[in-house]
Amino acid sequence: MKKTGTVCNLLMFLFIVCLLTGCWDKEELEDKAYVIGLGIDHSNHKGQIKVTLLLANPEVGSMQGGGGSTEKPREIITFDANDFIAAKGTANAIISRNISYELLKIIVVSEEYAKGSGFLTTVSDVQKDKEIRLDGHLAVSKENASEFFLKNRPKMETRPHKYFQYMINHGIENGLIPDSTLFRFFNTTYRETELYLAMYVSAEKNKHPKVQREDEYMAGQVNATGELDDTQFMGAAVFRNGVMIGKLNGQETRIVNILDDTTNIKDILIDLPDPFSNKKKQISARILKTKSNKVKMNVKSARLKIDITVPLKIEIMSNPSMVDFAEKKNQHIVKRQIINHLKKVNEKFFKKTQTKLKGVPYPLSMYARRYFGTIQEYKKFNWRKSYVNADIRVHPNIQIIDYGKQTKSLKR
Amino acid sequence: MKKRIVKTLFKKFNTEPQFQEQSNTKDIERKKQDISSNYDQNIQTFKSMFSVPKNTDIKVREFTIRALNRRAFIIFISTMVDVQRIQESIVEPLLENELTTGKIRDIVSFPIESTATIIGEITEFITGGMTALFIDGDNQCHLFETTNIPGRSIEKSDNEVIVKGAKEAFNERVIDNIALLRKKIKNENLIVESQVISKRSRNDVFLVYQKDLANDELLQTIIDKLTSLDTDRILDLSILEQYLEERPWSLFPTILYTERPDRAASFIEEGHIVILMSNSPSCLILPATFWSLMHSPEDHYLRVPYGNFIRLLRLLAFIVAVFSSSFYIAITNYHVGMIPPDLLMAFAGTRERVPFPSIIEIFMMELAFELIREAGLRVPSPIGPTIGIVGALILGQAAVQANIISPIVIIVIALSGLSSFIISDLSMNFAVRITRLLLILSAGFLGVYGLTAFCMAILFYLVSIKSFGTPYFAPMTPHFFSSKDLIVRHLPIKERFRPGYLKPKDMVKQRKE
Repeated sequence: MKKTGTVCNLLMFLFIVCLLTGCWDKEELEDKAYVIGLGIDHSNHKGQIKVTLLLANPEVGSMQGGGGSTEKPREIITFDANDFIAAKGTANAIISRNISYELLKIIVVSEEYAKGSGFLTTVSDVQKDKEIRLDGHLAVSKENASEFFLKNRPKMETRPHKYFQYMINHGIENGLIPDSTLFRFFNTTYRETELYLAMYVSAEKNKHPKVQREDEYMAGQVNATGELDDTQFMGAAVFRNGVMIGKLNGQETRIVNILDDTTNIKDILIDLPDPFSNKKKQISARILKTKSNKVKMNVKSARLKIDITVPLKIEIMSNPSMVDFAEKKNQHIVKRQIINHLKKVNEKFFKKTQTKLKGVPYPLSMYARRYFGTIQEYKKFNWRKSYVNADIRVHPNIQIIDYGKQTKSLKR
Repeated sequence: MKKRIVKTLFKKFNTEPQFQEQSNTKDIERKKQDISSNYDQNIQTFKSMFSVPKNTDIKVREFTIRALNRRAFIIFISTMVDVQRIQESIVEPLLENELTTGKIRDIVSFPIESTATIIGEITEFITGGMTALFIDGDNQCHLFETTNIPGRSIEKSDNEVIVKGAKEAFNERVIDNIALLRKKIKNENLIVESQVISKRSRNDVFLVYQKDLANDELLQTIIDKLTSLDTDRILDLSILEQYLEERPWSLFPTILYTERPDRAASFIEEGHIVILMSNSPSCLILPATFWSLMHSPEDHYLRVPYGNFIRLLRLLAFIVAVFSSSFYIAITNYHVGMIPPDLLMAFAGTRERVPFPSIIEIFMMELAFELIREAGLRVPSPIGPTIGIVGALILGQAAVQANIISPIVIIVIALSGLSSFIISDLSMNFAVRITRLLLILSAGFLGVYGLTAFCMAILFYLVSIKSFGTPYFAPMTPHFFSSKDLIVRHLPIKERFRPGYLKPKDMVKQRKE
């Protein structure tokens, strides 16, 4: 009797196991077509969107020697659809394999569509689809997303997934574009206290680009010539409540990235005004951020007061006025200069967010929460409103770890 | 109720078949009797028992003992005894000695002598290679241990190869084997207990243990189990292993089978019980746990960091051998998002031209690997290695070029196959290989979920197995006091305790000062 009992239990167990699974959707991996980039544009038909799919061909570039095929590395299709989930089915009229979003790296939205009200509902479908991973990135393109993908012809990376992976990773490390994952998008949009930054991209070069300082460009404005791909990733598009409201250039994006402790920046190369010359010369320096910011707030006073201490390590890389940094005096001057410059730039940026953007583009409100006992109190405090009128001071805490290679000045 | 019906039905269809057999009750009866003091009757009895003229190597030699002036005969099996010694130390003194002390003991110079009276017993001794001496008018028989069985000399261990440490291995002569153990444990408490386990061929089994360490209860269970065996013959230790095991159908072994005397000795000193058997070049160690099956003697011979390095390597190999092919199936069929894009593209690119589903592909390659492995074992040794390498290389290369197999699968199978060789215990090795196939099936059926579920089921099962009362994963789970020689080992000085699951009489190896 005991034995039959165990056998019954085992059978029950097996049966329950089968019920519990969601694994009946077995599919061989070569039967799928992997979408690397997804473009969303405004459609002329009412209630529809224009979906662009960038599909990677697995056969190209995957084999080491021998058996290389003459096929194209990618396929791009654009069509009208109700949403991009159902678009998978429609696309199968054109694409031979099953469309899969499992490798989706980047969702590109045209600036025009991002500024409209339909964007949030469209992009919310991401959460409904099991295949899309929330560590994919969101980007806003100056032109239509379909044009962006078509014009983007990388010269060195034939395989599209590799191109986007490198472009995004290194862009974030340099601080020129924000780490705009889909996860962050939904997070900030639901929290409603701050702004979301999406990376700003363009595959179209401006006709008459202005020459500016090193990082004060937007995508498409960098004047580069030669044998190259015109695609540029630079700057950020600002979203409030899921609608695009403005743009930040490369420099401003960097400021946000330095201030934001949740972004992993590696080290950033910037230009600083040279204190030893009056001819507008620039020192180039490398900024390293190894410690987190210290934020102090005074929420009790009539006007919100925020003090942010930013600990930075700086390596000076160039020395245009040939100053001898071995002298303590010069070291002091340069340090003072950097502190003043960073303070000025940061506070100017905060001013801009308060007046123009009316919100902070990184999760600063998290620091405010700790001053309240309950969520109700915090809600009553109304961070958004208080922030706009807040008195923000930035205190860069600089440590210069290297003054660069010291060379003897040349006498002319 | 239902079960009873099934049982009766089963019995109905599975009756013991009836054969026409010849009764040997007369022989059995005769064996129970004592020998008589009548010389002629004795010689008659033993000649008929051993069917003497027909049975060529049974020798009977009749002579007169000069000292006693009485007729006598010796009987022995010439192929199993040292005839030279019989001649020198038994026959010659009996023929030539003139002293009339009347005691055989004083005449014969052979060192080991005993007496017996029951016919059955005497036949047993004779078949074991002893020489029996019958004297006219004496109602007991003198027995001399003249056994000299030809066999292999002590050689290097073939199947459990180690680099550092003792190299000698057990051979087919149980006397040598016992000597090898005695050589390592020079202690009067080392007991070698012998027992006859089968009725017809009367195979000897030797229990070796330390009297002051081994748990009496454990010893008694093993002895009970051995006496309860009711069979005609057990030719080899590996067959005895199957008789002794609690779960003969189980995939995982519960008795450790080794051919290394150093390994056996170290287990005896921990309080385990070792079974030796004549004609078997190995020993059984009871009880065995998962850990003892996974460990190798070299772990302890090497210095601590190196020993732990190979232990961790072996654990890794175990995991790779069990999971790599099933994990490949699971992620490529169900969880594509888990693979890094570059790798996924490479997989998809090479899989594109292969006509079979990946699970068939894996099974084909597993089969091919097992074939190469088994064929490599059976091929005569001079061409063995070449066949193996050529077979593997050519088969793999050609299969990829013919688009039957994708190169990734070859990597996966080669890796898991290679890893399985690191587990030196043969039974464990088989267990791993068969489990691997089952895991591939479950992964193909339900993905990582199925893999995990099946793996859990295996773990449940493993935790439930017992080897002579010792849980399989002891002393890790359930926890017992031990010197924690499990996944990593410690310094020999720190290994102060014998394993607690054996309940040894002496728990502490070295007391703290």
